[in-house]
Parts: sequence; structure tokens; C-alpha cells
Amino acid sequence: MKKIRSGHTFLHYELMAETLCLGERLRGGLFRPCARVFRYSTLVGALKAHFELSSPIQATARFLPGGPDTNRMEILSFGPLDRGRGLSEVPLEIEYLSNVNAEVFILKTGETVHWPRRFSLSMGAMKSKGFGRCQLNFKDEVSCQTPAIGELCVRLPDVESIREVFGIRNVLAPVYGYLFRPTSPTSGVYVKSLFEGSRVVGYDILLTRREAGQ
Amino acid sequence: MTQFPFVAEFHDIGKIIDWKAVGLQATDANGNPVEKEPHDFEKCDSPEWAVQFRAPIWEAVFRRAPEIIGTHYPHSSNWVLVSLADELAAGLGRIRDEAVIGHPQFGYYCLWTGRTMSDPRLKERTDLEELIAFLNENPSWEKVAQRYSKILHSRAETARPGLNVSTLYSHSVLAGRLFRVLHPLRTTLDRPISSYSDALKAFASQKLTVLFLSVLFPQRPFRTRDLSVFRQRHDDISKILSRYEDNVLVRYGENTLALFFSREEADTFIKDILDQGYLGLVRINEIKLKEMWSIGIEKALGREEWSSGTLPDQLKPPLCEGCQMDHGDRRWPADLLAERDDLSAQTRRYIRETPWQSLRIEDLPQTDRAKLAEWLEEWDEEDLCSRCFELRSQAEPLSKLASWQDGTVAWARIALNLETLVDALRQLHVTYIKDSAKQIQPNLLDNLPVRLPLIAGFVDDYQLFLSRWSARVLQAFGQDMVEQINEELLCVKLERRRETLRLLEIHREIMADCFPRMLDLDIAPVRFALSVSPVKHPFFVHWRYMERPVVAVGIQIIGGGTAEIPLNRLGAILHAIGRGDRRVLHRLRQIARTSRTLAEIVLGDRQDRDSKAFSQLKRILPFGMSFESLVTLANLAEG
Repeated sequence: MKKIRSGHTFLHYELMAETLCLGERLRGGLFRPCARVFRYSTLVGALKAHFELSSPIQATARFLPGGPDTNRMEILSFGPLDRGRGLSEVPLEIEYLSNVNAEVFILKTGETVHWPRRFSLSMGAMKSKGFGRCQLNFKDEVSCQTPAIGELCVRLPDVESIREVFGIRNVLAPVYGYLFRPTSPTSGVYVKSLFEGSRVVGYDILLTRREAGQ
Repeated sequence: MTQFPFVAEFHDIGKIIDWKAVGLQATDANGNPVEKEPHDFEKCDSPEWAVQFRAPIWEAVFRRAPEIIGTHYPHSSNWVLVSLADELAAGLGRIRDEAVIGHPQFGYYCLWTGRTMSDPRLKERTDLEELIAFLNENPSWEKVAQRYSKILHSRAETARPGLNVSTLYSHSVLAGRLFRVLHPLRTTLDRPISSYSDALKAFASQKLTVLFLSVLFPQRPFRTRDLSVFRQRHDDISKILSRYEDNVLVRYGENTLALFFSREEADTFIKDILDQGYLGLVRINEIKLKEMWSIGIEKALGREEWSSGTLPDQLKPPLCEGCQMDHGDRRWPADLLAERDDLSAQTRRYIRETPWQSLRIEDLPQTDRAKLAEWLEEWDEEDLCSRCFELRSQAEPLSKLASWQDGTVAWARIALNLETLVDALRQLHVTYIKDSAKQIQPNLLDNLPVRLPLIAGFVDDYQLFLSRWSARVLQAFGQDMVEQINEELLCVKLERRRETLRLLEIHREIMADCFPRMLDLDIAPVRFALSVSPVKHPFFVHWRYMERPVVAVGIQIIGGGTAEIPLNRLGAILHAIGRGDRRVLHRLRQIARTSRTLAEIVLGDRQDRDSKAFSQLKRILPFGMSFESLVTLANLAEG
């Protein structure tokens, strides 16, 4: 594995949203479950779409513990309308998070350092129905120097360039899955990725807060 | 079992005799023994006892008698391996004789029930003569275990006070398996060994591989028909384990604790499992015999690692909808139907070439319409990899679950956590030693190793616990209302959601009966997870919650919150919640739907109109439950 360079600085934002639907990649059912963690592809995709970027950016996010009404998992019954045929389809049940409180870490680069202190973007599924409208407020800059041992609380591609950015020196016990990476506006590939629960040596910002503090 | 005719299981068979009672253990004037119990038959080597030394069993028994070994088994190494196996089976933490002092306890004390067996040993000289005559016939271990079953299950492996916590039966069976694992060592004996202690020293540096493997599947069972993956996994593992019968020391659910002579052998075993398409959580370690004798199983095992076959760095779309770990090159159900011989060639071609959502029943020949009607209700098709496609094609239908069209179901799962089990057994054992021994070596209890026969004994009782649990649920709800997926997982059709409380009650009752001492602990090795939803809710959402339960009793109501209940308070909590006013429960739940914080305020408000009725619920909070858990329980009790 390549040697990690001396450290990285991340722009630390607080993320708030009334609703957020991070749809699991499961089809064929009438219930659409919501992931309990952020996906790198969803987060970076939303940021790139918002700032209309073509160059790569790096970001990670995690949910924050809060009161009993924070990050609550809820279910919405939704009857999609087939406009072409003028018919209602079979109703879907969509799982989503309400009253979302999370934190986002964006790698500080010559470009991202000029991003506004407050901005809104749309993320996740059901955006056309008003889900995933997120407000991001800048908090501070976080300098990551020393990796720690802990459990991943995000899903991110298991590729060298991303490992380097997030200080992943070693994967002690991986939990693998696949994340979609677009290669053009109409195509893409699934990339082997580290999923939540993987035990890694990496920057604190990737790890569940409980473990990060230990 | 019969690969090596020599059977180490017999090495301690003399422990079923009360040697003092038959007059072969010297005593003082007060009847107290003045010598060690001669349970290795060392006082039965004279002709009057008619021991037929040619019967191979006796070599295991007389392993500490150099003269007999020299006379009757001069070129055999079996007794050496029996000695090693005995140490290992008792060990993984054997405690020295002088560590605890007090009156011997020959009856087995069960740490998790707190029950002590009375001394079951045979006390007549004729019993001893019969035993010798029986062993001279060279019987199989099964025959012996059957004939002396009660004694073997009641006699403690060691009678030292506080250490009589595993049965002679568990120890003997383990020793037999370990002997066969160690059998390759026969060929490495390069010099004659004459004494028991030399035998142990000769192989102290020999390394063995200890493995704990939990077999997981990559599939995310979403539909009823995908639940066959549970049965398939069980069958696949059983098939593979049958080739490693002696290596497997303990098995429960899809978890296996095994010992291998070499790392290569262990790696082959893991590969055999992974090659079937499964994933594994693996703890593996190579460790010297001398270290194994002095440490507990938890230290012998390495750190947990996730293991899978080789995964490609990239996959082309579509991704398999089942496991999401492979390319989905099969279409479900189109490819299945296109292979059906009972359909016309025209229909099969039409299915193969038409996107699923464009299929129209009127485009099919009349003769095939009825055969396909059920399938055409599938509202979408799925891309599956070959493995998931095969699994789903071979699935045995879960007929009850499929027939339930509406109402509520509760999925119930019980799981055993090895790490917590080791901690729990240690806690119970420390308490027992303190209560039993007159004198204890300083520091002995600080980090008391948990011994392998203890874990094996617990797992045997855990299997009985599971059988009793499923039987009780079937009895309480009726055969037609329970779908059993495997020994640890049930789905129960409920008339009313409130019936979930009955499932909790059954769990509490059987825990109290089978593992009463576990109820007092603040850690829970046996965990119970319940997930409640409308009947057609996808299984994936239940499984996400139940797959690796982290609390003693956890409840999820889909769309209605979760609850965590401490096991030692379950009875009191069920009692309190069962007496709650349903109107008040309903009101509290409705408030919590808007805001849990508001509901918490209302519950604590003495001026509230329902303050009196809330008092029953408020009593639950000091039992160590969160407010969210309380609301979830209120939700259950109200339904």
C-alpha cells in the first residue's frame, strides 16, 4: 500500500435536512429501504451536481447523535402516477430519515476553499417530491494527521486514491460491497467498496463517533 | 470416527467408579482418603481383575503406567496422543491441583442453571468387575455412552471444588475428537517416550490452528422465496462439516469452533465454505500446545476478520439484485420460465425476447395462459447472478408465509454470541469458585480461563433451549400460524400486535428455566430479536435488524420504533406494560408520533389529565429502559 502523506485538511460542514432518502440499491419490491449511512457516491454526486463540477472532489459524511426526534426513520406511502397512461401504479412504501442532523467533511482544495459558507443542495432519492433538500453550514476546518482504528460509518470505493485522501492505511476487517461509478452520463460500472462496519485504520472523520473517541 | 480404531473417549472411564467405596482407595481411621483416587485403574492390573490388555481401550486408560505400556504397548504412540488430547480437552485453561483446595465435588455443577447433580458414581465392587468385563469386549464409545449415559452426564470431569463445572461426557467426547486431530503426530515420534510428563513435553511446541467461523450469506433476502438461502446454507455447511467431523469442537447455528492440525487444513476448510458462495467472519490463530494448556479459548482465537472469495474490482451493470456482489446475468423470472418444458416453444421464445413489463397475457397461446397467470402477477423482473438465480429456482416454498395475505407478523430470532458467552461463563465460574473452595490461589480469579468443555456443554444446552423455544411458540400460536425458517428463526402470524408480548413472555420463561443464572448478569450471550410488521413487508428490513442482535432483548416495529429491554427486568416490564390502560397507551403513542420530546414531557407532567394512568408506565423507566423503548412497547401493548 502507498505511504500516506503527512495529512489532509477537510472543510467541516453541518448538514441539516427535513427529510433524506438514501435509497438502498434494492429493487423488485414495493418497499424502498433507506440506508443508515452515507454513500460516497451519493454525497460526491450531489456536491458535483450542485457546483457543476467535472473535476473530482472528495467528501465523506456521518450522522450525528441527537435527541429522540433526530435522524428518525419514517415510512411514507406513496402512489406514483403513470402520466403516460393516466393510471396510478401500485403504492410504494418509502423509508426515509426525518429531522436529519449530520456532518460533512469536504477535502480542502484550491476549488472547494472558495465554496460558500452556507448553501443548499439536493441529495438522495425522491428529490422531485421534495426529499433530500439539505442545508450545509460551514463550521470549521479539520486537519487530519494521524489515522485511528475504528469502524467505518460510510460506504466508499476501495481504490487507492480515495484511501489516500481519507488516510486509510490498513483495512483490518473489510465488509465489501459495490458502489456505482458513472463513466458517462448514460453508463457506469460498479466499483468494489468498503461498507459500514469495516474495521480500518483511517482518519477519525470516517469512523463511528463512539469508536473514534476510544 | 472409525478412521482410527483407537478411541481416546475412554481415557477417563474409571471416573464413573467410586474407588473409595469399592475399597481401592486407602483411607485414614476417619475414612478420609489418604491417596489419590486410582481412577486410571492402576490398582486393577493384577490378574484377579482380568483386564485384557490387548483390548485397545486399555492403552488409553493405562497411559500413566509406564510398566504396563512397556509390557503391552511398547511400540505404540496412541497413549501419548491420548495424553495430549486429554490435556487439551481439559485444558485451554487447565487449573493446577493446588490452585483450589476444599472437599471434592463429584457431581456436576451447571453454571447456567445453578443446579448440582448428586454423586452418580458406581459404588459396588461388582460394578467395577462388570465395567472391566465390558471394556475387555472392546465396545464402541456409543455403546459405553449409552450404557453409562446418566453417570457420564452427571459426573464432573474434575471433582476439585469449584471446578466441577463440566461433565465427564463433554470432556470425553472432546478428547476423542482431539485425539483424531492430533493423529498425524504419530509419524513424528522420533524417540520412545516413557512417561506422561515426557509425552506432554515432547509436543509442547507443536502448533495447532484454532478457528471460529461464522458463515454469512451475501444475499439480502427480500422476498419470501429467497428465504431458502437459510436452509441452503444450513445444508451446505452440514455437508462440508461432515468431512471435518473431528475438527469441529462446537457448532451452533452457522457458527463453528474448530481445531486443525495445520493452518493449511484450516484454510482448506474455509475455502470449501467460501467456494459455495458464502462469506465468513473468521477468527483464526496458530498456537503452540503448551500455550493452549494455559490460556482460555478467547485468547487462543485471533481477531475477527471478514472473509470472502476473490471479489473483482469492478462489475459491469446490471448488479445482481440478490447478493449485490456479482454481475446479474440472469433475468428472473423470465429465464426460469423460458426453460420450462411444459410451455410451448412459441411462449418460451416470446418470454425470452420480450421485456418483462411489456409481456401481455393476450399475446400468449391459450394453452399456456393458465400456467403463467401466477407468474405474470410479478410486477417487475430482477437481474440475478447465477448463484442467486439457482438458489431461488431451487427454493422450497414457505407455504404458510406465502398464504398469509394480510395482518401482522412477528419475526423472532435467537442468537448466541460467543465472546459474551465466554465473559458470562467466566463471571458465573468466579462466583461459584468463591462459594465452593476453602482456599483459592491468589490471582486465580483475576483472569480465569474459560475451558472448552464448558463452552461445549453450554452449547449442548443451548440447542435444547432452541428446541424448547420453537416447540413452545408452536404450542402457543398453533402450527398454522408459525413458519419455522431454521432453529433460530421463526415467523409468527399474529391476530393482534399485542400478542407479541406473549412471544416475549415465552422467551423469558424458557430463559428462566434453561439459563436462570444468566438472568442475573448484566451481559447477555443469548439474545432475542423481534421485528413486527404487516405480513407482506420485505424480509430484508427485518433481517437488517435481527442479523446480529446487540442487546439482550430487542424489538423493532416497522414504522413504529425500536425497544431495548434488559433481560433481568423483562418480567417486571411485561407485567407493568400488560396492565397499562390501552387508551392511555394510544394517546402517548400518538403524541410521540408528532414529537418524542413532547411525549416525554407529557409523561412526566403531574398536571396531565392521564397522570395517574401514566404512573404504571413511569415505573418502567427506572428498569433501565429508554423513553423510546417505552413508547415502542406502548405501541405493541396498544395494538
